[in-house]
Amino acid sequence: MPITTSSHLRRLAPLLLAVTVLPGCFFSRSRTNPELSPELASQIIPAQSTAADVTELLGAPNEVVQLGLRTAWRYEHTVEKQSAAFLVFLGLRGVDTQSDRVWVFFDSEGNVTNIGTQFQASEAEYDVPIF
Amino acid sequence: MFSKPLHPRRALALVALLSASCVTGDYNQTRVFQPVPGEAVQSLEVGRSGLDEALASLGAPLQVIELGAGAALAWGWKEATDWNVTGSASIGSVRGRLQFADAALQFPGVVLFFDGEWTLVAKEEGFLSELLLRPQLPRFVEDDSSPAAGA
Repeated sequence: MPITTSSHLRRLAPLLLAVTVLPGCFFSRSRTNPELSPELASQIIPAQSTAADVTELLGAPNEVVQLGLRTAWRYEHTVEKQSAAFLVFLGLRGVDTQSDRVWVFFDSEGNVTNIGTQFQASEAEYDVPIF
Repeated sequence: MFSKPLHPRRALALVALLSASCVTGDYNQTRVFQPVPGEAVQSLEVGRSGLDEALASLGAPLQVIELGAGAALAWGWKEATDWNVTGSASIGSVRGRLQFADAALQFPGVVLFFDGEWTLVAKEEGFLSELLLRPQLPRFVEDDSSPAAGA
């Protein structure tokens, strides 16, 4: 007996229904710039380290801010974790962005005067919101 | 629980409306960085605290901005949830679309202002977009007295 189009559809109907109704989800993780090491940052010592030392330890900064004759350099590594669930007509999405950040302040001679650090990139989480 | 059955004509109208329209919603949760401890901000004293103490208490700032002879350092974060609802309908040759979003665009934070000697001169809390006024750099002004080219 030949198989008709309608019998094909009848067989596919449960699959189509499942694809339509069952929830979908996705997870993504994106990183910006290389990771920053707390050990390397701890080797930068105010009144001792110079711009050359900082460049040798951390490489080129992501940003340089001119402060009169002084400068401040920013190093930043960012992690963004995104998760979502799709329930037919409703989408639930959670985005968490955390970063490791180091600011190094220099005097007019290129000597380190201050350093500020924070390391939170590893604390980024996948979290789908629930009401 | 329904007290009386839906009239067939109304049910038909409801089915027709649902099949001709589509409503979708998004519920979003956003976290960007983490708030600085309020006690740490309170412990910084205007006129006494310096850059060292601020960096040790609050960590690396989000932004450093030149401000006159001194600087402004900003710490910011965001924790928000928002809804985005989109409805569209197509009846005959007429199509309509309606969108509602209640996204929180503001970025709360703390800004510390330092003088040229890195002494804290002011501290403010609120939304960064309102607290941070980028300094206007001097601009080159062309002299109007020179004769216009081709005149």
